[in-house]
Amino acid sequence: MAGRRAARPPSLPLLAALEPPPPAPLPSAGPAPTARGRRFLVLEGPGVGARAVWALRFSPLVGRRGPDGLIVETTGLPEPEPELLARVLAAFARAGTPARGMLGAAPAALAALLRAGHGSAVLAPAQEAAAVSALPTAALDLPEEVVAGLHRLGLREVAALEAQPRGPLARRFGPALLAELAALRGALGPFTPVRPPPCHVAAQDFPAPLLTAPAIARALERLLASLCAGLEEAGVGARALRLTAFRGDGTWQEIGQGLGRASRDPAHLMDLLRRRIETLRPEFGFERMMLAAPATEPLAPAQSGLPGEAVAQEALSALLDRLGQRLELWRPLPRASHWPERALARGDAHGPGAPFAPAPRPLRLLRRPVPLEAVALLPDAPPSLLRRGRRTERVVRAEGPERIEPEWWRAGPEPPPRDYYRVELASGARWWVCRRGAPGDADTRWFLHGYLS
Amino acid sequence: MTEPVPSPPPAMDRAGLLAGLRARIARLDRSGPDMQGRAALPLSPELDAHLPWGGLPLAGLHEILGEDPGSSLGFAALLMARAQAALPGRSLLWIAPEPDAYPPGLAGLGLDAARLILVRAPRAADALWAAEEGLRSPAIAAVLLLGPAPDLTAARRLQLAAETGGGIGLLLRDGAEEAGPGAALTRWRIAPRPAQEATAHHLGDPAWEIRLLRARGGRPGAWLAEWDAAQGRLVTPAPLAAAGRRRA
Repeated sequence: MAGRRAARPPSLPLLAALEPPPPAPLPSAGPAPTARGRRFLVLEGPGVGARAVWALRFSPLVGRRGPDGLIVETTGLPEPEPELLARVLAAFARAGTPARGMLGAAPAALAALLRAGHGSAVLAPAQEAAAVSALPTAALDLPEEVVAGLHRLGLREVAALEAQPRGPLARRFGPALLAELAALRGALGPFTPVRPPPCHVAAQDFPAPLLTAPAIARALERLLASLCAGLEEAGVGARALRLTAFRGDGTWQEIGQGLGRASRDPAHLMDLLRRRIETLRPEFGFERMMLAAPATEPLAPAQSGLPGEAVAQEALSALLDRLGQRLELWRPLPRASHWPERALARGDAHGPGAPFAPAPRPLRLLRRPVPLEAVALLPDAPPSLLRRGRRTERVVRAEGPERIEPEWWRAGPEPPPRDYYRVELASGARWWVCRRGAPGDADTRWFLHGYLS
Repeated sequence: MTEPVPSPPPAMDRAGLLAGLRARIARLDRSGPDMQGRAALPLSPELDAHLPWGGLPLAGLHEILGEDPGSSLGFAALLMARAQAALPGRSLLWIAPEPDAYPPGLAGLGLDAARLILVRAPRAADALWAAEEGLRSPAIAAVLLLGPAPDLTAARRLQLAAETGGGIGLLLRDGAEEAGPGAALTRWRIAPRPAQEATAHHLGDPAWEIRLLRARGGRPGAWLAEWDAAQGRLVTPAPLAAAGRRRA
């Protein structure tokens, strides 16, 4: 990249343009680098951008810079910066994507230094300022014609560029140049993290990679304990959990688990996650596990020892969480419709329920009504014989008909009207049967639609 | 030469000895009728008087057989509604391969669908697991399990789970199946009957023939019963003569 930019000024001899000039050595670190403010690590290397999620093992805030670059915020990480940089670079090399990294305060300046060909380094603030001043303008993140224009004006270094009055520069080259100059000196541009950083994270490194399910479960228990302690301190409960397990080879696996009701009970959360452990494939082992609560909700401390509504509510949501992992569950909710199957809606099992008004309706409404053959004395009389499969049932009593007309205000083809009868068979069984189609229609059919008590 | 003759316990002590033995048996058989503190659901005065618990015991498993799905489900729904009334604030679980409960009809038996949760469990193993989890939870008043009968071990597990949670478990099975040994506290067979005031064009209230096939620590029995929807009570006017003829 440096070669392409260096070839641009027409005044340069051809051979000199083909060979990128070696970057000037970085200024010396000076005494005791004291870094304040936000710190970033910019990584560059072929294919590094694809490792963004995996790089979350180093810091919760990671963003992509195109396909070959990453930006990792390292503010507040406990490790000393040189060790951190060495560890990150070693991990990337082991994962098969060697990268160069520059750790400092202004991501734009770090990226420009890497582009200029500098090797990996940790920059103290003074060192960074001096290095930026010495940067060639060709290394800046600017459109090619702007760089060519700067070179025509003889502005080959950032220091020379910064010495110019800003107004004419902006008029001539547009606002992008000023924005880049500000970014070089630490103005932070917008930066989209690959995952929004959760407020509550617990993570642990494992010097000996975890291979077995019991070991993973034990590690998970420790993570949960520390996560729940943090949640309790903040007065919130987790509505979702995300476990990310990082393997040494640059891949990762994730388990997501939602909760019906905010919780910070380690035993309950462990119960939910324990069943999912078997879905993880450690292969060569997990080197780091990170448990995050990406969604939280305020949760008042529960008063224990008073059995009552609140306790039952909590136990119910814990039960529904467990059942919901394996099975489909819902609450029946009423819907304003007189069409029998439409009068019932499926609601969230965790949500509130609603009462139903009693009606002369069956206890079970068959999802697939059973076709019947009926014999009636008159076309519009209740049936006197019903044949279901090979069995013939004599009807001794019948109530009806209850005519239910289709809801014409709905879109779509209109189904035929139905005449419902409540019939009692000779055996005593009570059925809710219906004739589809008005009596006398060409195509009327009988169905068993439900069982009455 | 004096031989120690085991002296028989004084006549005064005999009552105390019997009480002690009874207490020991009750401790061994935790589901016995003597267990203290076992609350019971009221059904009807006649049924309550017949059952050794003075009603249908809570914290237990009950089997309901019936060849007609409507009447047996009606009885089960009535028990669920009673459990709901006895344990306010708790919910009901309806576990079936295809849960097609229709709350407008269930409301006629007093069941409040606002606290009804339907669970679709196509596989029997999942259904049993869900029933056990539900019964163990203190948030559940009743669990209704439709489908094939669990084996003895599974039924025993459900009974133990119900004792932990305090709700009732109802196994609703097709009566045509052979009713083998069971771990349930009671086993019922429900058959539909015509109502008292039924006419050719009026079905009347739900009416059933209720047979108690087995009750742990109790006798079998049979009754004709009718659900009085207006009053919300179960009326059992006459015990049937054939009580106990039919073996479970």
